[in-house]
Formats: sequence, C-alpha cells, structure tokens
Amino acid sequence: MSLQTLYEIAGRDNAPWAASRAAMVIAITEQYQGGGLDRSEYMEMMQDLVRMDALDAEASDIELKTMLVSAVYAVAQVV
Amino acid sequence: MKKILAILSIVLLSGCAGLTGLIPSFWDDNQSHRIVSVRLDIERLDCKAQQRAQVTKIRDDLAWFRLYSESKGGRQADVIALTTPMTDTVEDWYKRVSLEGHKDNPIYCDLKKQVLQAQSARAAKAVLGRF
Repeated sequence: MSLQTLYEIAGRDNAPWAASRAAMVIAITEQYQGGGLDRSEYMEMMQDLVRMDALDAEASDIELKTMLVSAVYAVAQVV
Repeated sequence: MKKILAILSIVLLSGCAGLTGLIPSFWDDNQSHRIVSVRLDIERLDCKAQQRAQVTKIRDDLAWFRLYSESKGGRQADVIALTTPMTDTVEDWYKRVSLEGHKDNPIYCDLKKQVLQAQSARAAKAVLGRF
C-alpha cells in the first residue's frame, strides 16, 4: 500500500476509525523517512499498530458479550 | 422473582460448556478506576521531560490492573486479554528507556503517546461499558 492510498483513507469522513489509523501510519512513516525515528523505533511503532487491532478485537468482543447479557436480563424482566 | 430468573439465566449460560466464553466479566469499581488512571497517566505524558519515570508509572498501573484481575479469578480473562496489547506497547518503551546510555527521543515519545491514547481510550470504553 502506497502512502498516497493512506492519504486517501486518512481523508475519508465516513470511516473515522480507518482514517485515524491511516493518519497514524502516515505520521510514523514520515518521521522515519525524515530521520525523526530510527529503524528499530519505526518497526516497534508498526508493531504497536498491529497490537491496536488485537486490542480493538478484544474490546468489541467484550462489548458484544455485554450486550448479550443485557438482553438476557431485559428479556427476563419482561417474562 | 424476575431478578432470580435473570440471574439463573446468566448462571445457566455460564454453566453450558459451549457458551462459557459468551459470558463476559462484569462491572468492577477497582478495574474501572485503574483503567482511567492509565488514561490519565498517558494524557499527562510530557515528552519534553524525562521519560523513564513517566513510562514506569503507566507500566505500574497496568501491572496493578493485571495482578488485580488475575487475583480476582478466571472470569477476568477477557479484560486481561484486552489490556495485554497495551502492556506490550508500554513494555517495549520501558525496555528502551531502561537501556544504559539511552537518550530520550521526543518524536518517538509523541508518537508512542498517540498510540497509547488510542489504545487506552478503547480499553477504558470496554471496561467501563460492562454490565
């Protein structure tokens, strides 16, 4: 994926999550290319972005399960 | 009676082998307080100041959260898994600032702060949103 594609994603209003993530990749990559980060710092940052996906998946899982428990509770109140 | 039925439904759900993973951990005052403390630590990060003490504070708060959750019991596996990516992100930073002769890089700090702000906001929303 080119930086140009990332710029396009970062500019999208209809996908704030993707736009925010793309903006982070751009900021990190630009700093690396400009000498603000060394290679190990750059690689670590990219690893952190992968970790964000893992965290997001876990958070979504908890939220979905909480909705299920809430629904069970609500149904039990009606019955 | 209805409350008993609700509690019974949840207990029955958690008792079914195939559905055990469907039951999340529930609201906990201490976990909620600590995850917001982590967010506050990150918000207060000053990248112009010495980084090691600040990173140690975040690391300690995350360690407290994990140890408390582990001590509380098996149903807490979801919130431990939730905070593990953040712990790994902070641990890499801590190792870096603990190296002998390390020189703080404010640009690295600023970007790391942005990543941690996003991670901690998402984690706090999930922890505080529980039933």
